[in-house]
Amino acid sequence: MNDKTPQSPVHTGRQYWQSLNELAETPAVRAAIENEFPTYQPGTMLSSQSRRHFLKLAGASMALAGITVTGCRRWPKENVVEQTSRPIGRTPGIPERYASAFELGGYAQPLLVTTFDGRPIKIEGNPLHPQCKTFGGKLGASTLIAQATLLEMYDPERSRAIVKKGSTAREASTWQGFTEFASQHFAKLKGADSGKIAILTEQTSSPTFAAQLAAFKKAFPNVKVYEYEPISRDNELTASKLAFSAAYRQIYNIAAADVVVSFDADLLGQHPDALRHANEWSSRRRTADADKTMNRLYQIESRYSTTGTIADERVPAKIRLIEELILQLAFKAGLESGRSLAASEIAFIDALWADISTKTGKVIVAGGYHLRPEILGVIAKINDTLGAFGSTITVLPDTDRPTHAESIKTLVDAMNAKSIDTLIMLGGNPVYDAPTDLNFNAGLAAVPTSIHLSLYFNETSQQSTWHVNRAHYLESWGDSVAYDGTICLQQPMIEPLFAGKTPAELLAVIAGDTNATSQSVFYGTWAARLNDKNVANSKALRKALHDGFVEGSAPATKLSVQSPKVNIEPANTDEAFELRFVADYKMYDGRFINNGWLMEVPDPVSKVSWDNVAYISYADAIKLGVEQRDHTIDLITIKLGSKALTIPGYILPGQPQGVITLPLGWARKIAGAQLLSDRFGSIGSGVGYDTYSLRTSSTMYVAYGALAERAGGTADVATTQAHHIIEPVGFDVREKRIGEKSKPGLIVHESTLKAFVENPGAPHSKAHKLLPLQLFPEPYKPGAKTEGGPDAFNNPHAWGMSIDMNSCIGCNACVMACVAENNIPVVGRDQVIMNREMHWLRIDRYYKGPIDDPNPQVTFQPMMCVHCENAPCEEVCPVAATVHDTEGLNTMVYNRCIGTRYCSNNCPYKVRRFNYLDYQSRVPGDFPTPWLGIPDTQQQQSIDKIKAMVFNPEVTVRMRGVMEKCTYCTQRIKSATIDRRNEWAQGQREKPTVDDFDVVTACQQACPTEAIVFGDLNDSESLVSKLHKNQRAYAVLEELNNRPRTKHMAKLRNPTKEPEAAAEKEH
Amino acid sequence: MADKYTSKYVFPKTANLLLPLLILMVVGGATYVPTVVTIGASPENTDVGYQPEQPVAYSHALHVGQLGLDCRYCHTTVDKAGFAAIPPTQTCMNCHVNIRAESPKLAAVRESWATGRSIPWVKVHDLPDFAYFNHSAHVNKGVSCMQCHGRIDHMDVAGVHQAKNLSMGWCVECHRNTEKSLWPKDQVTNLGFTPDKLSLAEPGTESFDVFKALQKEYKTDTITQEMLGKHLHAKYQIRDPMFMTSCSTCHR
Repeated sequence: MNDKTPQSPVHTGRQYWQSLNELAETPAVRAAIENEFPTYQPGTMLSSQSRRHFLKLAGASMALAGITVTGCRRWPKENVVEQTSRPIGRTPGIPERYASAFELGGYAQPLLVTTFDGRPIKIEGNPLHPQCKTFGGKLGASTLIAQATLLEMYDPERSRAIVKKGSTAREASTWQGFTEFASQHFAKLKGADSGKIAILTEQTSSPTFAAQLAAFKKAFPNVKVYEYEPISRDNELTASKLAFSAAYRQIYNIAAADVVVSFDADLLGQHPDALRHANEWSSRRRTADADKTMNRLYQIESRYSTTGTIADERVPAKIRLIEELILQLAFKAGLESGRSLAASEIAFIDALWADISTKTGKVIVAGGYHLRPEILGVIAKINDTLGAFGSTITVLPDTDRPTHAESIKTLVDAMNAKSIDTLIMLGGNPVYDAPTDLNFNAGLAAVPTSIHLSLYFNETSQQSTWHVNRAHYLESWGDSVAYDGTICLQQPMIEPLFAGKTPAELLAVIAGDTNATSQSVFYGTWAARLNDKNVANSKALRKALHDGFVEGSAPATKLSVQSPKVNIEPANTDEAFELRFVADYKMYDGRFINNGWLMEVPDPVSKVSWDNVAYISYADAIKLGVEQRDHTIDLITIKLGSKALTIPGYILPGQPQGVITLPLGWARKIAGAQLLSDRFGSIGSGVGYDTYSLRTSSTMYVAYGALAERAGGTADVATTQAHHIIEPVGFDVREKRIGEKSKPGLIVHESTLKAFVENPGAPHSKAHKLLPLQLFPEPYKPGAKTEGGPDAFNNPHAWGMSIDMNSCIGCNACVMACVAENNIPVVGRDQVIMNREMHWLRIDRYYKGPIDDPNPQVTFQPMMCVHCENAPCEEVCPVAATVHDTEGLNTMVYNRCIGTRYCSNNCPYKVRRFNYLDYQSRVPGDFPTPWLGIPDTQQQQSIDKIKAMVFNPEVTVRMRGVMEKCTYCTQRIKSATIDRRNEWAQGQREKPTVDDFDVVTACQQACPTEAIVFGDLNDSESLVSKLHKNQRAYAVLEELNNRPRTKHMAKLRNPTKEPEAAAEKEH
Repeated sequence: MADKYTSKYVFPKTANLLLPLLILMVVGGATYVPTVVTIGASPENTDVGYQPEQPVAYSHALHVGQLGLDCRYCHTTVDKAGFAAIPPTQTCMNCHVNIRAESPKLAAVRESWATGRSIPWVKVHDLPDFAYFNHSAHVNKGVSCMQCHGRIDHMDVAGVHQAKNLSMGWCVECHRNTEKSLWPKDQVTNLGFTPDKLSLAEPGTESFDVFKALQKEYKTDTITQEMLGKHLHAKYQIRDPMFMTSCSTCHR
């Protein structure tokens, strides 16, 4: 029986699918649909326990249960520890929210942090900041990574102390020990000798850091400063100097653009301004309903990116071809000579030019940051020709600097030449992520004194003579500049848990100010900036801290654009692969590797969690003979020059043929550790494959001429793409229900804009007829109130949700928001492979098109409990652990649940999650369950005390053996409804019920594209009521008459020409 | 072969008595064990009367009962937040810098104030962590402190004890029959209030208005809880029992 990925290009006529395994109908996928718990083995619950041992333990448990009952025992004594004097404005039990900012790669992300009893528990976007505000400033979006940094702060494996390399081994030191060393050591290097000091920083835009560096340079005038960031926008900077003769950054006003042409730029996925891009892009998708217009996004790309998934026209191409296409477009614009290209490629550019040339001032052409500077310069000139500057693109003055590749090379050369005596590394991890050809490690060994400030004890810390633990951004004062130029201020939410230091603080201390703190250096900078000595009480600063930001420099107005000279490089031979090094969607450059939340979230496009893989196209896979079956994936060896890397060759439909995409940031050797422990970062160490090993200073983002072959051997990769498959009837009818290419199905409704404008019912035209159950035959009418039936679930509110698939970009921000809000555990790689991930909210990614289609389309469908009024789960629960409340919530009562899992079995949407183990209690993959613990204190004893601080106190922490699922954030509903009613009772409010946007779910809060809307269906003026009446709104699996309270909204595409009617296929 | 009835391999005749004994044990056990478990595990027996020793021998009877301090003078958050906060040491020191400033009973309070270390009060009313009780939702709807905490104003230096069993059945009993526990909002901290005292209300207070309305409706000065509860249920727009007993009302 052939149960592998088919070798013949077309195996079935299936046109909507979530994974290749599904397409090939492998037994595991079939089993996943027919048996929801395919990997359920009672043995795994007891691992290696023998039956006899089990009986012994069971007996002991019974005995303990007996003691607990007959002993008339209260639960453990608890103390109430109140502050001796309460700060003004503080009410115990009410969360507080502060504006702050998180800097990644030199760009600030404005945040709003919720703290409870003095500990931060949730990170959201700052609704006041233009970069992340959504719903007109009512809410603030945030990125996946920014939200997950909360867990980083509470990581017990974060560095806790200062470590010094002694004569034989590493030894623990103290801050006092370090300051004594620093004052002695640096006293010798003052003045002329300061040339022996070098500072290596991460890219940072912090004004406070810049001020401290300037002060440092006064004491040590000859100090050399280097900057290195493994993921850098070097080429954009160089291109700016070529095209504008000055360092500028370009800001895209996507809301003003009718057409966005993106050449390999992941504008909505990986860009410092991605949140605003996504919001503005979606604002021009929602106009489909009222104005019957939408923007159009072209994506010509060498990978399958987030932006590619939502493009109206997508062209997968090798990078060399993308360059040719850009030059051909420049030729059409009258800037370059024509290229010799295939007829279809010329036709594509002709059509593209015809589309954009008429829309002067309403077009953006964007290029990826990995493209050559000359090519990016040509794109700037095309934009200039199309009148983009000043209308759809504004430019801001940027900092001029040497490129990071040059900078780190100069540093390594200097280290090798032994001209550096002391190296201060402020953050970063160059031993791990510097280009391999430079051999940073060898250079570092030649430096007698090296000081490394770092959040984690990592590879670089191990090679340095001093390691100083760094304060997390949530623990310290600071500031940084957002992509749009505003200066964002960073406030501490908590005292440093492990007494860490900030880079600015460390510099100040080394420069002789031994009493410096992150607060004093911050106030020092802002006293100077605001010219106010009493800055702590300055009204301007207090307002800035409240808002979270101050205005920065104004955009440049006059701009002259030159066209740079482009050297055409010869195209590859057909056999050679192009390698594309990309920042990982989750790990970025590798710094977040010890973060379980990020590890477990699936990659937005490939749905791989807990691993990185090489993405190859289906055609290349056939050529290389690479196969994949379920979680088992063939390894390939990639050879680039003398270097080779063996990595799973993951077949990603839509990956351009001839390009292998390699996400960076994995295979960390030392991802973190407790002080001097031999256990190096239990979550992140040794996970994934070292893609940095192929990356040299000349091939930072793209490498040509790589060879690949099957390595022989396989690897298990945890992917979630075939998990929780929606299929109520069985595998064979699944395709019909999902739909055929270009046609709507029952689960995924979609259409083109043109068809929708002509016929608003177009997305739903193939929907099956409703088959109402006999119990509740009348369709639901909001506001109607009858006894006993589902229509009564509207007292006093009727909660409902709307999810717009036309706006969803699959970025996973909602998934992370849900994890943080609802105390969702991390289960670990092995458990994910067993189908046991606990995410309440998942984003289903449906591919569309035959398997040999080089360019299948993608539709994202966020799916969580839809709160059916006729809930199938409730019908089958033997203990009534899942029941409705009066407002339409399908509630889950953990304490009643006995874990039969019937509800999950009967759920057509597959949104229920079962706690197979006590996932919160230990690090993933390590579950020595405390059998002999007293039952109700088990969790309290076994959850790490620091990790437990991240919990949202408003949500129950579930234990082993209970079912759980989306609650519509019931804790947020309760908090808002009680507060509004109290205000009414105290005479401060007209009505006792809530207003629209008083209750916002965590997923809605985080979404940058306003795709998720929650509210009261009783209120006909609420946004969700209006969206439920929208023509695109539909209930998934409506024919089952479950009457979900969540309605999805059909996706619309805006292609240049309508797809041809799909030919009737034979089955 | 020996007589089969005298063989040592056969149970003696007296063994026949074991059968009724066994039946007695099974039947007796079947009644005894559940009885012991039910009574022993009942919150009425495990929790009511719980009176842990507190770090400071604070007397509510003195401060509330005799001196007449309002509950909210110390428990300031009770009508704003879910949690009725224990007062900070500063609240004690507001008075006790002058009054009984040298009393040895207050040594722990003074020490806390001097060192900045909290007084480790012991929690008396402790719900399970999966039950989310919100003080403000009750106090703002005319549910008195007394309904759950009893006559705190009679509890002396021995410390506060748990007066009600705080079990789920006890909570739901009230959520089903809200009328039985509603008082006018301005009486929630008046622990000795009874409906027949409503006629004594001062003009200008909410209680007075309520009294006038009830007097008009029932043509009597003797107000019962039944009349009062019905009136306040409508006035405060208390939710119906279906809502009040939904799982999501108390569990998240």
